[in-house]
Amino acid sequence: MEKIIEIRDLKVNAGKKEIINGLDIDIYANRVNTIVGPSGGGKSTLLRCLNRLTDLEPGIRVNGNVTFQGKNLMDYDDVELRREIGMVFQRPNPFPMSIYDNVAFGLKLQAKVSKSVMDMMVQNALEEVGLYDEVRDNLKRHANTLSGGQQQRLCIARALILRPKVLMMDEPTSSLDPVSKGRIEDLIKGLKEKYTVILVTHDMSQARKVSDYTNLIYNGKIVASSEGTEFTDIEDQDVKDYLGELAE
Amino acid sequence: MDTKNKFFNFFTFLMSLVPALVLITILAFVLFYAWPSIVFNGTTFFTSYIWNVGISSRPPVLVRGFLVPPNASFGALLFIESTLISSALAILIAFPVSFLVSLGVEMYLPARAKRPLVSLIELFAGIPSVVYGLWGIVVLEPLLLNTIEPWMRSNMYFIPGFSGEVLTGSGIIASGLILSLMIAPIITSVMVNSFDSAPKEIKQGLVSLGATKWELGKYLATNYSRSSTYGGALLGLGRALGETMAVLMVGGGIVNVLPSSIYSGINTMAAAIVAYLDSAIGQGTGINLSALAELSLFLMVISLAVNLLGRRIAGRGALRGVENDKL
Repeated sequence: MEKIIEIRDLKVNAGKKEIINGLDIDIYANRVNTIVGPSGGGKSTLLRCLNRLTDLEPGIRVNGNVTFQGKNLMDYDDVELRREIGMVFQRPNPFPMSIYDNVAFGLKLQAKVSKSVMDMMVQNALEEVGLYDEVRDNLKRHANTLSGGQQQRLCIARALILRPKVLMMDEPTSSLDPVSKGRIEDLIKGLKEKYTVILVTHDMSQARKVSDYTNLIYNGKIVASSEGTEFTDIEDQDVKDYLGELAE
Repeated sequence: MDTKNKFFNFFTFLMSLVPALVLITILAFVLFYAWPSIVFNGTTFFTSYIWNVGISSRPPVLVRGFLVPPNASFGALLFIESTLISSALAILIAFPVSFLVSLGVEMYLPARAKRPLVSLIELFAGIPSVVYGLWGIVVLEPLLLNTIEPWMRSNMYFIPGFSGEVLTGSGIIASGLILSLMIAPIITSVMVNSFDSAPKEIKQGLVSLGATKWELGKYLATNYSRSSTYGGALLGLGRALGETMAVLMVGGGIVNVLPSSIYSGINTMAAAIVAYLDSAIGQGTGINLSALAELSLFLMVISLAVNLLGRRIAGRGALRGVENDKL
């Protein structure tokens, strides 16, 4: 398996508080890489380090060695990096504008694109998330008129139009109903053909459904990794207890 | 309900009417004083720039039912124009500067430095305007007269209004600069607060799509914070329109000549009211005082209109943000 991201000895502090302390993880290309762990365990922070959203929070200090496509993360231009590592958030966050403008947004920032090319790219991105048929006649409608699940797929489309190498998803279904959740899980499985997916979840059944490679994060460290979702030889009793709770 | 409660209810109801009552009283009072001037001057008040208090050593004459000194005529065009030009220049300077400052504060400063800096900016708004005026006379005017305005004249003469004669250093540029200094803190503090309060999810979403800090700021200013952006600008404009002491000191106190270039002296409505009040009070027919009251009334109406308009625009902007937006 080809590694697209390697993280070694990552440490993140917010003031005196250690959020991540000495974390190692490999992210494999064209796989669904899942990170499972309890709330407050550092999952979201880990994602925010990868597209350097942490740069925006002056109180947070990040140390460690992270390489993306063989190049140190800090050597990337931050804006450039965020186009290559897209992100979908826990709650759908469409911008207050039309469906079309939401999807076109990132591309418009990046380049002058003719109307016809933009139309095509927007359609393409919406098709990739299976939203196009639902909204094709209403592209000018405000994005807030969509259902929660549709909004989340819109946010995925918005990230995909930039053709990122990696798509990070931070508990993307946690605010959605079961049907919408199922659709997004199916979508995730399909995305890995073109993209590397990093999925953060605290839902073990979701991990079982979609994960190719699963990492268990606990207290700011990866304590176990496995192909599939079965973890063997865990010694720490707290971690065992946590896995037990997840299984229930 | 016991008596105490009834009284309290009645009293608070009464107090809730106080702001409206105060506004109406002031308007009525000013209108009452302005009435003779309104009738006497008619529309020439707005079309003429000649402010002539007449010959008070000669017996007054009766015009349209009012006794006035012979030759008296009151045209406020110069004062109105001065006010609008200096305020417009102030906004033109203060708005972009405030935008850049608030963007810088929001994007580049760590949280612990942000608060103190915002407090410092807000402190600027509390400096008495006479201090700005003094600084304007002592420092700014000589600088404008000897260096900046001659430079502008020889290098920017092709812009309409920039080729006139440099005379004193006081006038439009000095007033505009001083006013912009006075209103920039207000606009900046409104903008910083609104950038700060924009939803974090949206900010992170924008940045995650590769928006630069500049693009993020531009987006916030034209969308989420649009109401505050306009609101701040109009608050600033409101202050600039009514600002008195500083522009009285650096405006030039021009009478009966309309500004012909950007280097011209001016005389704003507020400044004129203060400058002519003393002599008007002593004048026997009372028409001078009445003319100043009409000027006050007009200034008040403009200021109120700016505020109302600001609210309307800001309100509509907030609604439009939900319909359709382009970056």
